[in-house]
Amino acid sequence: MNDEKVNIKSYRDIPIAAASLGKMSVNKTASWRNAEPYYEEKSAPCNLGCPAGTDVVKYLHLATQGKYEEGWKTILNTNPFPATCGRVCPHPCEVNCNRENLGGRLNIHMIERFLGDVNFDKKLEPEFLEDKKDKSIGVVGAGPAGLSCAYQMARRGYGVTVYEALSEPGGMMRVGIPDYRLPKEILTREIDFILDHGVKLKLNTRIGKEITFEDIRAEHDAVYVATGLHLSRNLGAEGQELEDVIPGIEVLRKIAFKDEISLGDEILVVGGGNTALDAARSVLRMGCKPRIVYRRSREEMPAIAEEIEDLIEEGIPIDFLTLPKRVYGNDNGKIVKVECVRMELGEPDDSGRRRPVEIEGSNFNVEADMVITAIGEQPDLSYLTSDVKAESWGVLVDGYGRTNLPDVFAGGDSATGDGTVTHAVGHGRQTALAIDAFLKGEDPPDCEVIEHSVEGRSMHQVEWEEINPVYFEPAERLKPKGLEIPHRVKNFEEVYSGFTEEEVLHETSRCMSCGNCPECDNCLVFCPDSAVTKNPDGGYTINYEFCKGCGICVAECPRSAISIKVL
Amino acid sequence: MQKVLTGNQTVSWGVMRARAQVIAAYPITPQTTIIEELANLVDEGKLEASFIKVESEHSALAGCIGAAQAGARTFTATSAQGLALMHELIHWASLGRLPIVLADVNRAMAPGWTIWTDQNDSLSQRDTGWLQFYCESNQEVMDTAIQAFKIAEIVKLPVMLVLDAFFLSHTAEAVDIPEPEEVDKFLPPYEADLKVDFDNPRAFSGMTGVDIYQEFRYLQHEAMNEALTVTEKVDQEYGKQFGRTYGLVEPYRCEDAEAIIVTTATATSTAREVIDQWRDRGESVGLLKIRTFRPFPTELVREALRGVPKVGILDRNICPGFGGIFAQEIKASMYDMEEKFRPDIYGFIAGLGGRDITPDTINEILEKTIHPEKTEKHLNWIALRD
Repeated sequence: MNDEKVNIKSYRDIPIAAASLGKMSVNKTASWRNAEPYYEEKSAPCNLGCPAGTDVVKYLHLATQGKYEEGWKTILNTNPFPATCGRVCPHPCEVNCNRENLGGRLNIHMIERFLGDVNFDKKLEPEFLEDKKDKSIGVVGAGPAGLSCAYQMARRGYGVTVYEALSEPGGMMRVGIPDYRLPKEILTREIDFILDHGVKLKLNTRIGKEITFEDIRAEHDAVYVATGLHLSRNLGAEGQELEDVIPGIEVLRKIAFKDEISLGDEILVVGGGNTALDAARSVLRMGCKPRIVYRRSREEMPAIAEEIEDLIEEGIPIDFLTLPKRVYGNDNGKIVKVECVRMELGEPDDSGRRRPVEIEGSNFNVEADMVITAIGEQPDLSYLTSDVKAESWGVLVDGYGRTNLPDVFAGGDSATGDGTVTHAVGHGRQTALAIDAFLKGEDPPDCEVIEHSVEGRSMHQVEWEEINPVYFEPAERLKPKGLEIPHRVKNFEEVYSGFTEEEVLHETSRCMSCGNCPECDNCLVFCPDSAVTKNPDGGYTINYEFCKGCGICVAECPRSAISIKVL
Repeated sequence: MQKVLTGNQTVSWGVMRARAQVIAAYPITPQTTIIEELANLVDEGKLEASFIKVESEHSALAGCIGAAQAGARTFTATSAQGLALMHELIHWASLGRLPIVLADVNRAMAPGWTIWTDQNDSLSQRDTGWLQFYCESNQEVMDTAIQAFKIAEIVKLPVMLVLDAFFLSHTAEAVDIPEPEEVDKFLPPYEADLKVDFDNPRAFSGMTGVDIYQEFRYLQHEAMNEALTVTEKVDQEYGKQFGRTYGLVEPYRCEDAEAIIVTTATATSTAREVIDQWRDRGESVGLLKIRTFRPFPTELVREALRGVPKVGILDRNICPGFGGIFAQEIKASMYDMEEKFRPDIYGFIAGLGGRDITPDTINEILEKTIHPEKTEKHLNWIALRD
């Protein structure tokens, strides 16, 4: 029956049961549609959470299928440090993981670490995204931001020279993070891969000393400044000039370089950030008795939560709400005790945290023969020329890492102060794309898109309510195995071992691929009008002549990769 | 091949021989072992079929309807409350003209809760447009199962294969199982004319206007009428190939009978024995077995009972407020017969809720039919505890 109406004169003109005559052309079920489904891949919370902009949901999916090398390369696309970040990143990717409601958040960082480690012995050939160019950039500082920027620029065919003041590359990854969290051969291997892209590395080259900032600007078409935070803030207490009051970052650097260092026996570590924790746990492993004093409470501690737990497990005492007032030395200038005062939390300060206020008369003495300060670090920007706008806390940049000078870019902690390796890596990449655009005379790509690898996906973060939990079994989050406490506090062996393949597959099988279509065919199977067909080259097409907008495909999509709009 | 099979196993083996392609079923005593056996046969690879586990009888028949609409040979089985739960879709299957075969193990309706046999569950589905065959023995179950698919697919109506709970379902007998290649010759693969076809998409069971609904009913009724001859023909054909026929009705020793007792299902076997005893004593009594309830074989019944002075009808069922359902059907069939040929008809109710129908039951009915002085014409309760 075509569009014309058929006049049925006899029962002989009809089929034996009620059925449309001939084709369905007169009965296009779409005619009563008042809502329209459409495929819309959305952003998984892990993807939006990753400061490096890594396509987390994609590498998890690849790992599910045992495609570890592809998964590794997926991370390498945005982050040359998967094995490093898998170990040291505080994994903001996991914070909003929807698996929270079904056995606990996915242990994403352990999967990233596995992907970074599993092919450790395999030498990857560098993959260049663009042809070689005759332009070059100079990168000041071989930390995570600088190396990330160098890597992304080298992949795009630019000549890259990295200038590093220290004798080894890696920045804080090398001299700030102890071996028990990040074995240095892991870091070296990942840096070597960056250098394989033709990146030139000039070590022991401090700007302002061996070479001037003007020299570098003259030498290169653009400069990226990422020198980190390597000046420790003063203790701000009487006696701070004593010889054995040492900055935490100096202690960590000396330990990392295996330089001579004379440590006390009872060491007071001042501060609540990662430097304080790393310093305390490091000196514990060298036979000392560290004790942490922190002027606020545990909730305000800026250090990574798991690191705080590990430190407490290792038996290091923390005095919360405690402030050192005076360091007492003897006649030889050796520390004998530290006078502290108890604090209470008052009104919130500029950081939003409650301001600690001294409790009068609560002073007390702590036995100590050494004080390690870790109450914050500042950048040393003395090498910059005065035409680069900067404040004491860092270089002034926009969202693309652009300074007031068109050819000068800055990032990492010395500009953003975000404070993690992964943030620095993300910033290095983001700015590399801005530098690339600058050198091509183009506008830089959309910040948000770069930051979250959202090409082809909407920025909408998939929430738990959008997941169809019927399709997922509850399963527990796996935790890595740690060394026994009595053993681990005596050396710098890595505390946590990586996941086995079996553990990785358990963990990846828990991934719900929020917002991302792995082609499970549910929409196709459930469509009552057979209006969904699978494309030969992947994905699906909805036939809007027959889709009546019932929304079953949307309801049965386990992971919200389909949306519906009311017409 | 001969095997000792229960009635339920016989159903399963018959369905396997018929090569059903989709089975959707939900367990209920006394039907359960039918689908258990089928699940095993599918699992063992002896029957290539999709076995769909569902959450209710309603879904079971819905599954069969979907599969049949897609052109598959489909089967399901149930009993009593399960069949009642299917009721909406029982209509659907027939008006949709889908040749589904359903085995109903006759079980009395609750409450009180019961698992034993009587016919009220299947007879409640009288007006749904399904063919209904009531079986007397396991062999008849086997042969009817195979015939059922063929008849259904010719007339495009669903068929209910009915067997008594426990008296057949759980009682083992030697059954001759036709060889697969022979059955394949008898019952070729199902080719649906009107089915889901991706190359020719169309809507099924859609809104049907006042201008056309009645015509679908007419076609359904005509198909039911056609089923009378088709059933006869298929039975004959089956007989030629396998050596066994059953007819729509079966008169037994009815020559010159003064009185005839009408029975269905397993009560027939008992009645045969009793008739033999009466005949041996020189009494002119006979038996009429009704195997096909829908379509009702009116002409065959009229032929068998024409001129017989007295007829007693044994109903293992009750239409409350009227009487026995078979009696009602037979009386209606005889109404316009010339008075001199029209028998006196007496209705008897016995064996409800699984109560035994013994030779004494049959004797009593025969006595009351031949000597009707104290017999009610319309309705007599046998072995009622009064």
